[in-house]
Amino acid sequence: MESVLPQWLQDVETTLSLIGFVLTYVVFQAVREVRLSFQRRTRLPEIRRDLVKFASSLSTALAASDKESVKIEVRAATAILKTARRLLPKDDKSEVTAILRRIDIAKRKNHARLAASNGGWDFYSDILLSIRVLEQAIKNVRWA
Amino acid sequence: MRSDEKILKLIVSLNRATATGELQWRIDDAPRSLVRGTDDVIPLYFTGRYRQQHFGLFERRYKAFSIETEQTYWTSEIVLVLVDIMDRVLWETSSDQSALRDLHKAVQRKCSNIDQLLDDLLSGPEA
Repeated sequence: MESVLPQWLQDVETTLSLIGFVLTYVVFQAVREVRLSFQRRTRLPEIRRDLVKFASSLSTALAASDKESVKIEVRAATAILKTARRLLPKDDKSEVTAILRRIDIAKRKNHARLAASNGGWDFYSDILLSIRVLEQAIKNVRWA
Repeated sequence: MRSDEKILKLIVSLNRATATGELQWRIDDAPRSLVRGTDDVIPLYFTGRYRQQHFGLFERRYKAFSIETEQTYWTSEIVLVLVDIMDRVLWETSSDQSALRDLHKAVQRKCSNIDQLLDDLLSGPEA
């Protein structure tokens, strides 16, 4: 059936709906970014506090050669690091990803090695490094 | 490896050496250069020798100023120093407070021998 509307009006309509689609996508991205920004402001300091706590417990467990506690702290800290990676800005994300990759490799090689003194202290260093990354990210977010 | 990463590794190495007993700490008086001409308070000063180097570790309590409240307040930080045989401070760091606080806690634990003390107290006959 032939349209009652002229061709030029249909073209305008199509163009406007395309612009509308692009605008919807832009707004969706902006809302997502705002939500992420709020999450960063509230969650990153909490994550940092938790990591400091886990690092401290890990240090005590390593000093006492308490392998069971070391495993528990490693597991808990890994889970928190994964949450941190999701929230961190792109630049800082890569550092935490590298740390998580090192942990994965260590786990795959020999899970028991993590609990042994060498692997455990290496992991402890990695947590401290990630705390530093988080501290910088928190400062950046505060002034963003 | 970046310089700040090296410092972090050093703090972890000191913590590890403290745990293994390779590094023994003892309580000492803080070097004069740290307490002279300042209002800072150093409640306890630990000194230890690791790989032919003398280290000092202490909590520094000092007055800081808050821009938000426009008031001074007391705060503290853990400081690690490298001293020479004449007790002169050659280098100091207070970055990486998480690592330094863990080290300070480990040193306090070792010097107070709290683990042994708790074992003795808990294994003894009840009063």
